[in-house]
Amino acid sequence: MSPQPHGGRGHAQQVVRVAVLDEYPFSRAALAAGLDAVAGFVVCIQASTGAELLAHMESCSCAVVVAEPWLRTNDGIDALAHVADHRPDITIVAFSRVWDRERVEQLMALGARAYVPKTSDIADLPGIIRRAMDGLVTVPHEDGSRGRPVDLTPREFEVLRLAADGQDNAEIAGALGVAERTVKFHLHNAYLKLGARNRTEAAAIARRTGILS
Amino acid sequence: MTSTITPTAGATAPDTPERLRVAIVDEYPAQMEGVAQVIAESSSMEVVMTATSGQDALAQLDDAHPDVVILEPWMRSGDGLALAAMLAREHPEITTIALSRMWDDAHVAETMSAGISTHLPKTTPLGDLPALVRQSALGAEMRPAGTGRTGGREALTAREREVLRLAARGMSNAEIGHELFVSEQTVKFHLANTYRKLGVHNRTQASHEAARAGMLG
Repeated sequence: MSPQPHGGRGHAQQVVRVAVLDEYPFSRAALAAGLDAVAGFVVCIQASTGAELLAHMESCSCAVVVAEPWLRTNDGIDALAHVADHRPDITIVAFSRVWDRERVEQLMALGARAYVPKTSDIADLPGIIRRAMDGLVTVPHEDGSRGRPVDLTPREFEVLRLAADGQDNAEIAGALGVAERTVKFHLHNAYLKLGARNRTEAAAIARRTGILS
Repeated sequence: MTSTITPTAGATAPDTPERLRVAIVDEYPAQMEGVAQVIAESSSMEVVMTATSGQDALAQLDDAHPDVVILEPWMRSGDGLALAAMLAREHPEITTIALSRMWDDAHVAETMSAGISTHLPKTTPLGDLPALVRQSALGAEMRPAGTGRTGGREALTAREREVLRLAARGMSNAEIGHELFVSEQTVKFHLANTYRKLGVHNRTQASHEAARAGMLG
């Protein structure tokens, strides 16, 4: 393969029309506003369910769908699969609050190009989207911990260790001499760092990656 | 009514995140400068080291202690890939990114087996690099669409190849269905799977990609 010329700044780009799917009005609005504000992007569809997304797409053309696939209506995955099967010209990007291996694999298997954890800076999305349209796949690290050595604070580690041992928040609070809401605070941060949704998952990831023995 | 907020004793300002320390390894000065400039322009990262060969990079590595190394695996010095492998093996805390002029399956597979998980082609617009670097530093893995984690591509089935061959000849979905005695729906289904495996969006791209990869026979 012959050497490729280096890509320039990439300024002269066509406007990218984006559909946004997320059930929470606040995060949907923030995502739509964030993307709309970027030069070269226009959010033309906002949907809160899979059915709504497909309905809007009948009358409004878009090149990209940025979606939270896991909705309480349970129709996100089916809608995205429908888009992938019938509209291969559309690039699908998952922007999700969960990113465990099984879910990521499910999205990539149905044809998504990128899976971005919602903890990411929205400023990074446009670049990921443009590269996805151009044939670059982006996924979180395989074990869900985002790959880098996880840097738990001593407090987060302590709380996690007790939680993994089966203690509930009240018991942990008592053991450490702190308020229960402090325990929840540390646990929540630990979940984010581990890429976990709950204490069971956090414990599993922590054991698998050697953070907990 | 005015109110004043006084910091309580011992409280500190929220930490400003430290800038990501980025090293760039590439034999071409123009390439190096382009990347260095766009990294320096980003408020969240800084260039702490530049090197023109694997050996040069190794000599500076300990002093520079970068968080991220952006390297060209295929340099004339021949030690780019070895540097990548060493970093993956001995410095898992460093995010190593291949920014490469060779973007075909074979070369990407080789850099993958050296342990690199983010692969970017040199056609990547410079403006997109900081976001990709930041995401990679957070653990994202990037690779060409259609390839798996170890670089392998899911093979087209015989039926998919047949459909693609006819599509590449300019036949419509209806004509292909007629030729193969299947419904147009089935043709579309095979094509959609083919596009996904090849990492493309439409039949023109699929024909080019399949021809390039020697898939049409």
